Amino acid sequence: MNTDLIRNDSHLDNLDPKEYIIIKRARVNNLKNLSVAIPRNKLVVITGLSGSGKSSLAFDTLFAEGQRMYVESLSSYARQFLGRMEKPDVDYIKGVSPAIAIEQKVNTRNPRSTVGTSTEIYDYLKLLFARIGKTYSPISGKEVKRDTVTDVVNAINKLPAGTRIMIAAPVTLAKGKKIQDELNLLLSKGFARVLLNGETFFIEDLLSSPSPRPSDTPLPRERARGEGKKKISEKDKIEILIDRASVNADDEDTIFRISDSVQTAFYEGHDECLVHVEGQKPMYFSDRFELDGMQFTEPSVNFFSFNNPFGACRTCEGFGKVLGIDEDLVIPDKSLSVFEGAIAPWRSEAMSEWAKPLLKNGIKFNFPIHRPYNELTKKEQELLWNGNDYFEGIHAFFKYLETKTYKIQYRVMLSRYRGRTTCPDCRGTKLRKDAQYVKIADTSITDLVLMPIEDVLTFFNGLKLPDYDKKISERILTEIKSRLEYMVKVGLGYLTLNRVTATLSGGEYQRIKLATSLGSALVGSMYIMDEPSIGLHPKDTARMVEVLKSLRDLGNTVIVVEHEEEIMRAADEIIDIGPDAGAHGGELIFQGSIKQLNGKTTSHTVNYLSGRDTIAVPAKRRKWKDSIVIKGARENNLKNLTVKFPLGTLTVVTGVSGSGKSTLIKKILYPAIGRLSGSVGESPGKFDSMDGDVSRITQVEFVDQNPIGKSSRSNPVSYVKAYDIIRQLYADQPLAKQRGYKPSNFSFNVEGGRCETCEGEGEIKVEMQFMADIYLECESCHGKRFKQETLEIEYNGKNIAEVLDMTIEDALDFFKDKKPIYDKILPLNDVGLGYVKLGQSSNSLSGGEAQRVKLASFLGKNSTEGNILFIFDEPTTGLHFHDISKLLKAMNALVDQGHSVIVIEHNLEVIKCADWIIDLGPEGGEKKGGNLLFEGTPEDMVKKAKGSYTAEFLKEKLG
Amino acid sequence: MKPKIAVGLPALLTVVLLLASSCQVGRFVVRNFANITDYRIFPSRKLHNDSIKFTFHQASQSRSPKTISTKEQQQVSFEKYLEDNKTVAFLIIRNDSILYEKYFDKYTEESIVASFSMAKSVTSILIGCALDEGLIKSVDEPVTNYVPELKKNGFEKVTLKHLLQMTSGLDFNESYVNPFGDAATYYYGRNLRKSISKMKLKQEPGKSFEYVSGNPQLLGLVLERALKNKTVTEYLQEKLWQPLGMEYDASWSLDKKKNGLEKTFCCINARARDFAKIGRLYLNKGNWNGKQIVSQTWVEESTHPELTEGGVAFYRYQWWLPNNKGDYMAEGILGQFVYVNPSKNMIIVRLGKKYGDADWPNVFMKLAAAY
Repeated sequence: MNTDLIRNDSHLDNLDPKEYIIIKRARVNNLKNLSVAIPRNKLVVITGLSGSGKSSLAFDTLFAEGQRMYVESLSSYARQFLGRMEKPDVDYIKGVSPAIAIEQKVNTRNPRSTVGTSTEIYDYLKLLFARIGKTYSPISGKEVKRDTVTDVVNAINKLPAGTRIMIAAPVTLAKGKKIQDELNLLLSKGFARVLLNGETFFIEDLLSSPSPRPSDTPLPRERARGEGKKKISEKDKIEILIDRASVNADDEDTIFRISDSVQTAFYEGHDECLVHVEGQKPMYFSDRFELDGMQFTEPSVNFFSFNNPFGACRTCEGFGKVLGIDEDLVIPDKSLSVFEGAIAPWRSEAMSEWAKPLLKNGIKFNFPIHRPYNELTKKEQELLWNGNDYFEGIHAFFKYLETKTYKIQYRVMLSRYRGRTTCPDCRGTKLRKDAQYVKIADTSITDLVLMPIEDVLTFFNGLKLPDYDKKISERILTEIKSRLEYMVKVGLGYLTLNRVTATLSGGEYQRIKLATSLGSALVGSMYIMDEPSIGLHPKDTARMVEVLKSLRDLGNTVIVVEHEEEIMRAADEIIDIGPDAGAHGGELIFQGSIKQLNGKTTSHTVNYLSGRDTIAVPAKRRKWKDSIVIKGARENNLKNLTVKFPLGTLTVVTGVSGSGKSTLIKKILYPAIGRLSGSVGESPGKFDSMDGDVSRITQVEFVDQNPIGKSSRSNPVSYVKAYDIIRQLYADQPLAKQRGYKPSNFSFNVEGGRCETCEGEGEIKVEMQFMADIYLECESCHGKRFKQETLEIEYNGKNIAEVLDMTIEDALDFFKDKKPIYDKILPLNDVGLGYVKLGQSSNSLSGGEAQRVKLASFLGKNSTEGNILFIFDEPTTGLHFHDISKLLKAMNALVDQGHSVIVIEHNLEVIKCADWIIDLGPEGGEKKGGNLLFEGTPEDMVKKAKGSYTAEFLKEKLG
Repeated sequence: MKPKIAVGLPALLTVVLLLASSCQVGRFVVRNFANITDYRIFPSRKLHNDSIKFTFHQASQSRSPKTISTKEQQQVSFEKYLEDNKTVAFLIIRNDSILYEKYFDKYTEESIVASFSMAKSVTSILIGCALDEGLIKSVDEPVTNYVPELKKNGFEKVTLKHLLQMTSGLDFNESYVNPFGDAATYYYGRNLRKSISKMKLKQEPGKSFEYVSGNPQLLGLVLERALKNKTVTEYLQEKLWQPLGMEYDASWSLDKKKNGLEKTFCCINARARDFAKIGRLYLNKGNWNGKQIVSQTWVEESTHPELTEGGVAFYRYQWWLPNNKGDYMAEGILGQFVYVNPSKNMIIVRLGKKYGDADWPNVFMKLAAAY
């Protein structure tokens, strides 16, 4: 298909909806009568600048229609619970398949949902352990088994033929029951003899005479008739003699008889049975699941289900956490030694009394008081908590505080150190403690869910099972392995199955859902994904492409909203929406495969992909003199690194996920500098020293992707401090003055001008119990967040609500003659956020957008004074090439103002534009990561760096 | 109020004790442990509500806590939890709107409850106001500038900051169960000025933290002297009760009727909503609807820890800091709380007859996290 066809959409009517998903004249959001035919069963990438309308097409049109059609297919009874779904504003959509959207939102806030449950791997593990798990006693380490009748018969048959045996059942007297009554009962049941302390007696005799006559056949010991007097007391061990026989393994009748007797013995003996053999100790059998005096529960699926009261940990009720003394609060800085005051509550003068005996006597029991807490052995750490003869431990200290809670100061101290801590019984796995006794190949289900998925896969791949177990578990193992493999393929091998879903990043969650979809092998569906490449190093992206292709090959249509070049190149078809953002977007610019990229076009994507537009490699790299040197960095997996950070340059720190980039920058460099200027409270991770021209830095700013405000009340315009001026402007309007309005009347955060029904939120939340909360537009202000009176104040024909609803681009035009406002919001446009609305609540901004708002706020200050060190954490997330070039411009502007910029980044466009690169690796994780592979300019890196994935990818870029 | 006649034997004992000690022991024996209705037996100065009242907005649609898990991991209804733990009032305010307001055990929004040690935090606010007005020059001034009679007891090195941070090294028995303890002397005693003049140090000032009521009481006397011809209550009326548009009258208990001194370590008797307004003042960094009541720097200093000179991470100028995230609170012995969470724009007030078996600061933090 070529671009000429797209302009005229009449041909769409003739296409076969079995081969294409046909959208005719979509007008959702900023889409401008966009018509497109998306081929089925292909991997299609929808791309375009941020705000160009990609998501409007993929989610608000395609997915919305898919959903609506699904709901329409339900009965009207069911539909009443689901609410009415609007039909997307479009002439028609044909050929929509069942739609599955894999978004980046972590929708579940359920504290019980884990990676294991949401991938279904845990369900299979439960089944596996219930079927082939063996229970081992924690006391002797032996396998717990129940003796069946067959087991007993087999044991008897192993005795030499002709051995005389007695099968007996122990009598346990119920409380308050007399022996005589019990014996009478036995007699009436038809039993004739009992064993009294190993000797046989007739029940009748025991009942009638005080000195009973032993029965005629004194087994097992020969005993003279009438010898000794026998009085039965409660202390005597009484057994019912069920049967006597001699072993004959070949005679079926005998075996049958013995089996029958054993059965009776188990019944009479309450699951216990004894077999007396002449001249030997009696053999004991139990039909109960117990060993070493401990009662065990036989594994079942529910036994491993923490969402079921039966399987949930008794201590934490299946939450994995309990309220207790939080280790992280008590020992906030684990790189300190006891001597340096690792134990926070013992630091103060008054409480140091608790530390003194330990410091004084530590030498007597060989305790290394000068060794950092995290280098102590597990035993030594536990000693600190439990104490010994020489000193009282941390636990004892808090017990003491608890006895003194009538003093306010101790109460507050306790509160400060209490928190949700990992449940000691289930180790945070939420599972009842005895579930850990069930093992496969010496590994319990708890061990497995606490391992990284990679290791779990290794475990299952190397698992050797007895034939019988193998047969049972074959099918389950296939399911488990394939799911684990998909998880590793989508680059999530580092997660544990126990990880709570609500704590995952959006990208991780999306990839989990992707892996799960693959596992479920659904066909004929339409998968719609939102930037699955976020947070992936180029090395992992290739594997991601594989996953997307296998999803397509199953027979699905895969539609991906994406900026990442590699995924675009792998696509069967690219759909480019644009040409620019917001009002200047919403048109179909290009459709076709990567090969068809030629000819002049307005598509930024095409221009970049075809190489016509590039982010230019800087002509020369900035030279630098000053630098900060971090020596001996050892936090997490860092291998005693000494790293030089140049100042006055754009420095990029790179490496695969888990290589230690973030640890080096976020845990060491940033807090170390921040501590000097007093702006950062947390103490840095382990390192020896920081040298160099530290004094040149006046301030350090960490520009991360965290939201700029968690509430729905903060927004870009207030973040860059432009809202104060806008409010003043409105308060200065004649009508406002006449009514005596103050700037605060134009704030939705305080009482006054805001709508009081929704307290300025613009929407009202309705709780739906077991379903997701629903947000409804506020009835009294209709989402405008202000009272009618406030809205009557207008400036240039627009009221405050309309101003908040403007895009930044439009606002620039609107406020062009109000210089103070214009200057404040201009940087937002410069960083590529022109399409964002002024009043868009910050919780609806993506991480990347939030980061750029922060960047804009610094650019807006235009502070040429001082030398600020800016640290950016993956700023290109969610950015199109075109936006990346804007971002680079903004970052370079900061450097040109005399500041320094350090960027943690995977994106090659940014890496190639760096003045200086610091590359960590070569792989991720404890063993293979944490080494400094290279530091220098990009050119040098291509030439010199060995074994670096980044260097290989960079080579192509610099070509 | 407990009838005085109903204590035959203790009363007899009292006679003996009275000979040995001052009358507060007798009153301790009669009244025993502090009680939230004690304000009725003490003389006091009145605080008057303002004609223009400030009222928090009542949220029409609000999310209120439904259940809470106890120490034993049992899920119980939030209201039952409050009631079981002897709460009489509980208020959650966010973005100036009351999201939750409940009173228990016949208490209503009009019931007076004694503040106990929350008064210490109020005293601290007033010290801040006096600093702003130049009545006190600096927190580094020695206390003997105002209370020269303590020179003879070696108080020259004790600064106002030491008193504010509880690091003065004062020899003071804070036990609330010992009738001979200093806390009882100050709570039931009838001549605070005289008791103060007998204060002693047991340790160099600026060495270590010890929470004792003598410090804020001494601050009360400093304040009274700095104000010259105004009482501490009048100053509270002028600085907070009127400008904050308090809804109800209140009072501050005194040691004696005639020319008494306010018990600045305890005993402001007011209603839950008005206590919340003190939290709101600090939440807004000392600014009340555009008017700066107490300087922003004072509020910030008061609510952030200083670890030098014996200072601790959990306390600053008469305010408790229950975590390192910027939350702070005033607390009274029977579990009276004004908790402020700036990051959530939230105030929680809890008043009780007893502390109950709850970790209140943790309950507040959990609640705040849920919003």
